[in-house]
Amino acid sequence: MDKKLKIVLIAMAILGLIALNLIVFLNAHEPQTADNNNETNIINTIVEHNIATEEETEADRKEMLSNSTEATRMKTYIGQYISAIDSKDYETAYNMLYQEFRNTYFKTLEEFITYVENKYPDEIMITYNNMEREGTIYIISISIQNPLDSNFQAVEQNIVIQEKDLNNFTLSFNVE
Amino acid sequence: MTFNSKLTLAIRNFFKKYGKILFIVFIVWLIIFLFNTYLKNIQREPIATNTYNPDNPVIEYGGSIPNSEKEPVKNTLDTYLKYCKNKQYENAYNMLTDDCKKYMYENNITNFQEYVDNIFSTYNSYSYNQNYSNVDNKYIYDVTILNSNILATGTTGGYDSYKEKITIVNENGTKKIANQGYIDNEEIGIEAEDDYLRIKIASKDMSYSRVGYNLEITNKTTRTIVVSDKQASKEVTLNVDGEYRTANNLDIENIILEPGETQTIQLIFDKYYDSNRNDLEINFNYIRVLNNYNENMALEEQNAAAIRIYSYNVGLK
Repeated sequence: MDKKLKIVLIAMAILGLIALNLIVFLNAHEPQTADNNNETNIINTIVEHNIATEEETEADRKEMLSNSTEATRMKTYIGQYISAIDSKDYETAYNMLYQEFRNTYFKTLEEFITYVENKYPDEIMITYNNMEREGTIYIISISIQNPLDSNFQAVEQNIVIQEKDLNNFTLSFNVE
Repeated sequence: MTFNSKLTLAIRNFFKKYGKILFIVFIVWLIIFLFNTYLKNIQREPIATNTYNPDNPVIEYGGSIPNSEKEPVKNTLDTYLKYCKNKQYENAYNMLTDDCKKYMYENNITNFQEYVDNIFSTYNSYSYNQNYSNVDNKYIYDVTILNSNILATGTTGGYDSYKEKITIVNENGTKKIANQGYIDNEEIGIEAEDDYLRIKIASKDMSYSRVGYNLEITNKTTRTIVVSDKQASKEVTLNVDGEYRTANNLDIENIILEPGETQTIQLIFDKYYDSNRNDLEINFNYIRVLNNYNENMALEEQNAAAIRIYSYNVGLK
């Protein structure tokens, strides 16, 4: 056989195998959906309420959270809590509260609703100021503002969160 | 022959010659591909990654806690902290090592009770642990105690936190606790003397960040001897691998020996327990043997009244 042809055919076979492997490799490395924000972004970052869409399954949400940093996960949880309040779904927000905290400060849902309606603006925007960790508990300092009302006096609050598992958390805040 | 027929013939010959090899290569590749696809599609339970790893020592020099010890060590610490939080003083006190009871609390449970009431100020205290360092089968933890369960208060009214090193040691086959940074006592039994002084170093008490040498020092003469009265610098030092460290407690205590007097003192020096450095000697750098002495004498007057001024090193090896 012509030597040149032999080389062409072997090269084609090798290139074919490389192309197949490349396809497999690219499929295996589809872009991640996780938010890999650096923790330094915690400070003074305006939160975009990262609410899961209706289609998003619990498994997808867990997968996304498992690829996130602790800071991002805590922001996501706070986003869920604030979103519930923002959309007047007070019962969901109330159920996120730590049991002992609820028993002490908000014995009933009505008490919680009264507090929230008096304390928080109609439109909520939050800014992260600081994050600390005490063992498995996180303390996140936030400012709550009304993006549509510059006269609204920002509410400074500590949100205390414990993550029991991915997308399974409980929280409390300083009541003042 | 045209190029096309040449090419066709060549391909046919190529596959005739290398067909088997190519088939085997293809089968191998296919197996690898299918296996990769299978691995990729295996359902795995996503887990959260945390930077809080209480079992990983902060100081890696001494290694991690052996797997067989992890659970007993954790249980010992958790049980002790639970007793403290619940103000079960006797149960908690009984978990302390004999050395710790003696050194930290003078073998008096009332002193321990005061400590517990001060640190675990409320029943609602919250604590968490971080393995800090492990040396010679002693497991040192950094324990943080908050005066409230911040999850229950939401930090309403603020909160205080307190940290201390707690060490878990094996004492007569039982896991025991040494708290407030204390680790243990080690017998030394070194004696040294010259014409003026007799020095016995009986033992040393080790804490995480300092070491205290227990000395008995005797004036053998009929004159007053000043070992330390804060008038000269570095009157007593510890040689740690060639680095001289001044005794901390001589800022407030003097060592002035009347004729024939014996004093029992502890000399405290800064030294981290896990520093892996050796104490070589204690240096008494400015011993003054005085003909006459009164407590108001300035250094110059002492120098003038001295029949001998000298330094004396007591080896620790």
